[in-house]
Amino acid sequence: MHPRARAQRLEMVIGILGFFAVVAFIITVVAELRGQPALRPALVLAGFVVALAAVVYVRRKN
Amino acid sequence: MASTTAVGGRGGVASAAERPAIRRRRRFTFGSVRSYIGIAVIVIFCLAPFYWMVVTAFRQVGYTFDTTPWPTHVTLDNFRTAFSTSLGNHFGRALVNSAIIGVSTTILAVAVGCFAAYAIARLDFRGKYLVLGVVLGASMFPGVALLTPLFQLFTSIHWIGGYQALIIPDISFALPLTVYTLTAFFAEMPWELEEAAVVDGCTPGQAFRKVILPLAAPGLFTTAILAFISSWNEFLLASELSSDKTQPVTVAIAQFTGSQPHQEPYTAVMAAGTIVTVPLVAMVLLLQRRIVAGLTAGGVKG
Repeated sequence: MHPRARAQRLEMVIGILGFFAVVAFIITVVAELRGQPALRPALVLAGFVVALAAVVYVRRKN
Repeated sequence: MASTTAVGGRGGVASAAERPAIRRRRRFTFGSVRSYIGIAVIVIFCLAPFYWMVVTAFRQVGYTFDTTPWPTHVTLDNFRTAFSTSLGNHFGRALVNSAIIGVSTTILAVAVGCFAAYAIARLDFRGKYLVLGVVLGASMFPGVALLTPLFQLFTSIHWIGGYQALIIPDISFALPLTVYTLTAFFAEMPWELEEAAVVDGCTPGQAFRKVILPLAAPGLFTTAILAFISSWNEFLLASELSSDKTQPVTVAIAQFTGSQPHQEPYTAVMAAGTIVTVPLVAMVLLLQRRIVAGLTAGGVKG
């Protein structure tokens, strides 16, 4: 695959993961502020952040 | 004689009378038969429910569950019942509501999506594919997860039961589709056209309006049709956010009541379903070429 096309694809993946990471972040913050159990949203958020960091790392490496 | 002996051979010249025989032989190869069977299975699978809906729509109420596969005891009463308001059903008004919601959603989604897609496809800025990714991510978000927050939000700002409570969420569902389809379409268009327009004295805005937009008409048209269909078929949010006065056809049909309590008016529901489906089917059949051309336009970059 052409490096530019690969970079574009990775950017798109970062966008998708970023969107869901932001949503998970909002859900976690709301759960924390309301005193509701926030472990599961926090774990989901952590998963998204790790995946996002991995993709950003790969994007920078290219 | 030479032509007779050469029939079937490579480079042989077949007479006019023999050509159909050759065609017939080619037509019934194992591969082509398999293809036809596959096509027939898919067509039957897709059209059987629609066919059964139409057949039941034309049946008398007493024969609702008749399993005869073709129309029997044909009547138009079901269509009259569907439009009748005596049982508290307002199908006609729901059709108008659906048209208002669908047309508004389509116009706004295409207008906004057109500019967004143009910016993503033609302007060079950092992270534009990231924006496209966010748009795609937003379209993957499940609608059912939005239902409760939207209900609470619209209740607090007194929007529940208004057209805006149905149109704005519909736009948010139609926009990602619009942006993504039009981005592929704009990206395929040659830069030279726009440059030529600017050289001829157009401002960038005029070049977009007078050169790019007319050329993008098939793509805009396709996107508009897809946006309209998605809005026309929306049920989940409309079932919660609409009132009796603003409910679209999808909700109106689901709430159809019969002449007696606990009686489901199947034939009237089927008649209403047929009425709702026919305009969409007719529109897609009429504009099939444009839809396919618009959909495949961004597929290959040359």
